[in-house]
Amino acid sequence: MNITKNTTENTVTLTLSGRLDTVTSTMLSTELDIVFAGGSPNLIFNLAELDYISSAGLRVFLTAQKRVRAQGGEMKVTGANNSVKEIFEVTGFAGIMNIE
Amino acid sequence: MTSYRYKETAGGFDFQAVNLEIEDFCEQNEILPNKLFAIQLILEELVTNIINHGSNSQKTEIIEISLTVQDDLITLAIRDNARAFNPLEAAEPDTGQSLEERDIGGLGLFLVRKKVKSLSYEYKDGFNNVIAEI
Repeated sequence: MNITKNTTENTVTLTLSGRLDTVTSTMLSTELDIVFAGGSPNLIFNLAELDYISSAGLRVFLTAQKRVRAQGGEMKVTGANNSVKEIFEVTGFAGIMNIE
Repeated sequence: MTSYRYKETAGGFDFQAVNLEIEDFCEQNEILPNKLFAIQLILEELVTNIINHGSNSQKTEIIEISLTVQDDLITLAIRDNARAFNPLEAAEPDTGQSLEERDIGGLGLFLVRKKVKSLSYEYKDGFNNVIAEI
């Protein structure tokens, strides 16, 4: 998986490409630790190039959403393909996150 | 009927290699992308559960994968000699909970049950045997 980061004044956008699974989810967790240490309140995940997600990836998103909420910011997930979006929906994550 | 097989210890299980081989197998057998997604997801969740929760500290248990395609039926069989565990009996997470209430765990086996057409389990001769029809 590749992670591309784009930072504006208040928002960090992470573009993920490839697979977010048990092997690669640690990479995203580590990147998010850096993002949260940077202090930007808002977080956008661009998943247009993400082919696959498993529960390991969902856990990282859940933790990220909790951290963003705790610091008073907003988190958004955009561009997910139908297979990835279905995973968010069937687990109820679409009800607790902003999935576009 | 065509099939793919893989056998390795829990500690040596190579998800990246298996995923590439399954992608090749699916391409050769003209399996659609959404089915490939389901196969890889079910395999990852079940095997991760074996490695993380059923295996000893040395990760020496054996995990065997068998993926077969016959007509429109895809069957994934996973056999292991880790701790006895029936994935059908795992508690389901409450997907209606609020963000604050949601727990990090419990999602993997839930996703398996959502993505299979059927799931069966048998413990025999010291081995867990799970068969998923996709």
